[in-house]
Amino acid sequence: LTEKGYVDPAALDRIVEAYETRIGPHIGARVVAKAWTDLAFKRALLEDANKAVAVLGMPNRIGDHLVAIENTRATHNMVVCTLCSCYPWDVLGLLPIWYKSAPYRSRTVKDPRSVLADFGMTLPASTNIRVWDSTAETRFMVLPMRPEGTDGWDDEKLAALVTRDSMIGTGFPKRPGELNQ
Amino acid sequence: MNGIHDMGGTDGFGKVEPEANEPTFHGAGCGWGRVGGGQGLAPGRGAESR
Repeated sequence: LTEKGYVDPAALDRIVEAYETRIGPHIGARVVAKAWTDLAFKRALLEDANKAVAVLGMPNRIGDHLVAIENTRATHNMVVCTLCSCYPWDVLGLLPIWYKSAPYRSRTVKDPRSVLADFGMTLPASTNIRVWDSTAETRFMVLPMRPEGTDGWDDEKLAALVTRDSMIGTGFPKRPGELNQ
Repeated sequence: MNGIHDMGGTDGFGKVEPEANEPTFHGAGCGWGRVGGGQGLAPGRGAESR
């Protein structure tokens, strides 16, 4: 591709570098932390995530429709792409290998609780699990529940609790005591 | 319904294996992850290269 002039290796290097250094789940974590502290932002995020994220100065590079879905005690959300590996790159960065693996894609829609068990995660039987199947046009990020014991924390401190997996639905945010782990 | 792309609900693929401390790109030795990943990322992401 390079010999034929279709690809400029320097341009590819800069794209790769952007995903290694600048674009990652810390962006989504900022979005989640703001939603935890700013009710008006949370409402805006759940209503139109593209618009709300853009207000924070985060561009939408792919042009896809981003949907944020809120976890509650009654409902836990999980994101998958059964067809391939559609993922909210702009807010979560590069996707983990397991997200595009056959076991995750095949089982999440059929038996999500057993998939969560593979991540060491157990939910109460009374919590419903809702699975969101992504497409190239519509991608999802989970708004996890704010951990207890974080009253009065500012956005920056809260963002440090937000893990990538908690925004896919395959993990919980860190608890305050786990902050340095 | 089982198909090579539409994997939803297909049986027999086993457990999901989350990876602790996964690298940004795999294949650190020969760099295939960076090269292949960069080409996959390129469409629609010209803004990053400027």
